[in-house]
Amino acid sequence: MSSAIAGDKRAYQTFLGEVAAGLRVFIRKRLFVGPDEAEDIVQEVLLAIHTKRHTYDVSQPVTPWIYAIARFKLVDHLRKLGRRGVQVPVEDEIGLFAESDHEAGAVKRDIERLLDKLPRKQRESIRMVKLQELSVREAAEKASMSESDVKVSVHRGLKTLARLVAEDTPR
Amino acid sequence: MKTNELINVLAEDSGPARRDSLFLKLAVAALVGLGVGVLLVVFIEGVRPDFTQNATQVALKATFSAVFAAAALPIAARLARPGRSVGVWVVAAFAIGLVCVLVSGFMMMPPVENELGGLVGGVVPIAFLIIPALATPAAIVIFSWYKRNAPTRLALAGASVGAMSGGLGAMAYALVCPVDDMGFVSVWYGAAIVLCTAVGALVGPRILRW
Repeated sequence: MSSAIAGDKRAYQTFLGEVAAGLRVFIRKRLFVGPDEAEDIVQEVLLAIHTKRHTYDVSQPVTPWIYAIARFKLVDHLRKLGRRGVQVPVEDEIGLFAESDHEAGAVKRDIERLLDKLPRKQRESIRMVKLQELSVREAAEKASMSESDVKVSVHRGLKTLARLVAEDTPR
Repeated sequence: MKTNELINVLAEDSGPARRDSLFLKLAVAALVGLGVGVLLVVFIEGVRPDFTQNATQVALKATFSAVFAAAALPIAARLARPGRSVGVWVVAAFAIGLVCVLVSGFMMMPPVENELGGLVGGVVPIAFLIIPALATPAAIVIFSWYKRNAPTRLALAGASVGAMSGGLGAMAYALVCPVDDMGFVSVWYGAAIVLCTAVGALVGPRILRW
């Protein structure tokens, strides 16, 4: 998205393609609608992302921004349905605001971006122990490091990550 | 249209996005709104005749009003982005600030008017009616700029825009307002700004939808 905002058309195209795929899952999970209707909403969200792209703050992760737009458009869609006389149970709307696995997946991509800023040893240790959920011993064997070395790397890496995230978050 | 086609169209249309600060743009919109309010009030009522002798009081009242507009500005700028909200404490701080102003103003009022009856049973001063009227042009300017952005908390966003406009309207009114008693100013300017905030919160969800 950052390079897209800078005007890189190819990057923007790829980015929108990925977003569309994510949105399809996001919408089908929340609404019982046919593929055509879901696609309509996907397109509406893409359009909103495009026309409102100046509201994306490049210092922030892009995922929450996209899903805030998607939720807003989804609720808007439900409201229109409601006006047309289709019953929409309130519980469904509340469900919209719940976190989903898919979103967690997208957040993971943001985490990967942050992880890239760490030294290799810390990055690999965190990836193995925290993301792949290997035991410290397994991780140590895989990376041919000592167990305490893995532990210290994880600890230091997490500390740095916490600082990076704090710097990323606006006051 | 197929989604892929749409994506191609959008990518073709992309070009660098405008990246200037929402805060600055909102501030410009606020200044324009203030300008319209000032022109309106000067045109209709004319600046108070004793303006030069009482410039300090006028400045004091204008500053009092500007504080509210300035406090609401960063909140409104934040709410203009999707997915951004403000903490409960921000709303609480704003509300507590307003209540403090109202209460202290109430206590500063001359003893006769300090009777509850004087406030409730008496005539509502013209300030309370004119300030929202002068806030309207500011609100129109700010809301129309705001619509180009993407707020997702519409009632909160509307309230913040209302508070800003109220503060700006009060600034404009300070030019003509003949009363210099700060107790009066605190109570009635404050009440007018509260009214504007409430109206903003009510109309926000209707007009800010995108």
